[in-house]
Amino acid sequence: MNVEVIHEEFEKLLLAAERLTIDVDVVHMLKEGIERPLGAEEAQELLRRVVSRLERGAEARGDRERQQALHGRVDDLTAQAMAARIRIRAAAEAGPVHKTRSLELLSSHNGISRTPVVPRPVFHEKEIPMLGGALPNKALLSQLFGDSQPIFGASQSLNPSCRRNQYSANISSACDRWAAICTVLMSLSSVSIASASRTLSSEIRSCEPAEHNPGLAANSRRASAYAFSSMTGPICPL
Amino acid sequence: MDAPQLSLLNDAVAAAVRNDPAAYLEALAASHVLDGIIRGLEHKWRGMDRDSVYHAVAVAAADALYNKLAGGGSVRSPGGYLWKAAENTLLKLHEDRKQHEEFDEARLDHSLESPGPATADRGNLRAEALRMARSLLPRLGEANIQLVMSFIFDCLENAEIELDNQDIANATGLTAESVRRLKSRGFQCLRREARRAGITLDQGISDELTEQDAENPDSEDTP
Repeated sequence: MNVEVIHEEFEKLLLAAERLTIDVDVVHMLKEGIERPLGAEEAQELLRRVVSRLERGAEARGDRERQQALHGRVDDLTAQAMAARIRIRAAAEAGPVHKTRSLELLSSHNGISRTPVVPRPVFHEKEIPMLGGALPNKALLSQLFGDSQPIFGASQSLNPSCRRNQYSANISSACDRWAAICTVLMSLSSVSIASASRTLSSEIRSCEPAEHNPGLAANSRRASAYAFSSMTGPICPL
Repeated sequence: MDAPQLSLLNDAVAAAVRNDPAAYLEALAASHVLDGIIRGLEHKWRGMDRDSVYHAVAVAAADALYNKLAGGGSVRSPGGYLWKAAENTLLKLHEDRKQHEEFDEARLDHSLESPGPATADRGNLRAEALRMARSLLPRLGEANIQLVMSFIFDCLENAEIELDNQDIANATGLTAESVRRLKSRGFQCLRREARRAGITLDQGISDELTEQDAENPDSEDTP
C-alpha cells in the first residue's frame, strides 16, 4: 500500500475522530434557525424534499406503515409543517409570555408540604405538572381583590343573633368568592384541587362566630362542594 | 426562547420512534433545526459548494435521524446528531466531487463517518490508518488520555455518528469535564507523535478544541 495514501487516510481518520467528538452547540444552532430562518419558498421546498426522501426510504425498507402515512401527501404534509413553522415564528416574535399573577406555595404550613400532585392532572390529553400545598391567603386574596376588601366580610362587631344571620350570608358570599378564587387558582396551575379545598374549609372555619353554630358543618360541606364543582366544571367535567 | 424549540426536537424524536412521519416532519419544521443546520453549514463551510447542497445534506440528515429512531436506535442529542450527519454527508460529497463524480442526492449516505466511497480498498485503508493510530496510543503518556482516545477510535470503527463528552465519560468512568480536557490533549499529542513518526499532517480542527479549552479553563481531573 502506498505510504502517502495511508498518511492521507490517517489524516482523514483524525479529522473524522475530531468531528465525531466535538460537542455541538444545539442551542446556538436553534437560535440561528429561528433568527435567520429560510425564506418561505425555500423552507417549503426543503420540507417537500424531506417528505419525498422519507417516502423513498420507506419504500427501500419495505416500511408499509410509513409508506401509507406519506403516500400522495407531499403537499398536505408540507402545508401542515409550514403552518407549524408559522405558529412558532409568531410565538417567537411575540416574545416570552410574562405571568402577571403568580404565587409561591408555602414550603410547609400546618403539616401541608409543597409536593407534586400525583397522578398529574390531564388536560387535552396532556399531563400538566402541578404542585399542591398551602397558599399564603393574604397574598392570594390581596392579589385577586386588592387590599381594600375584607376577605369574607365577617364582622365581629355585630350582636350574636345578627352575627349568625350575617354569618349565613357570609357563607354564600364566600362560596361565590371562592368559586372565583378557585377558577384563578386553576389557571395559575400551581395549586391542587385538594389544597384549594382544604384552604376553603379553613377559611370558612375562620368565619365561624364565637358561639356554637350547628349549621356550620353543613354549610361548610355545601360550600366545599359548590366551590369544588366550580373548580372542576370547566376543566374536567365530573 | 430555546426551550420550546428543544421540546419540539424531542417531539420529533418521539414521533420518529413511533414511526409517525407526519408528526416528525411537523415538529422538525417547527423547531427550525434544519434552518439552523443550513445556516451553520453556510457559515462553517462557506463557499464550499452551491447552496442547494447544504439543503440536500440537511434533508439527508433529517432522513438519517428518522431511520435511526424508527429502526429502534437512540440518540442522545437529536440536534447534535442532525448536525454531525449533515456535516459528514457534506464532506463525503465534497470528497466525491474532488474525484469528479456527479452530485446525486440519492447517493448521500449519512452512515459514512468520513468522505470517500466504501469500497474494499477503502476499508483496508481505513483499517490500516486505525492500526497506525492505535500504535501511537502508548506514546501519549497519561493513561487516561490513552483510554479516552482508544474509546474514540473504537466508536469511529463502529461508524458512530454521535459521541459527546458525557458518552465517553460514562464509558471510561471519568467526568465529562476531564474527558473534554483529555480529549483535547489527546488529539494534540497524537498529531505531535504522528509527525515524529514521519507522518505529514495538516493542523486539522484541533484548534477548535483548543479554543474550547481556552474558553473553559481546566478543572480538577478525577480519574
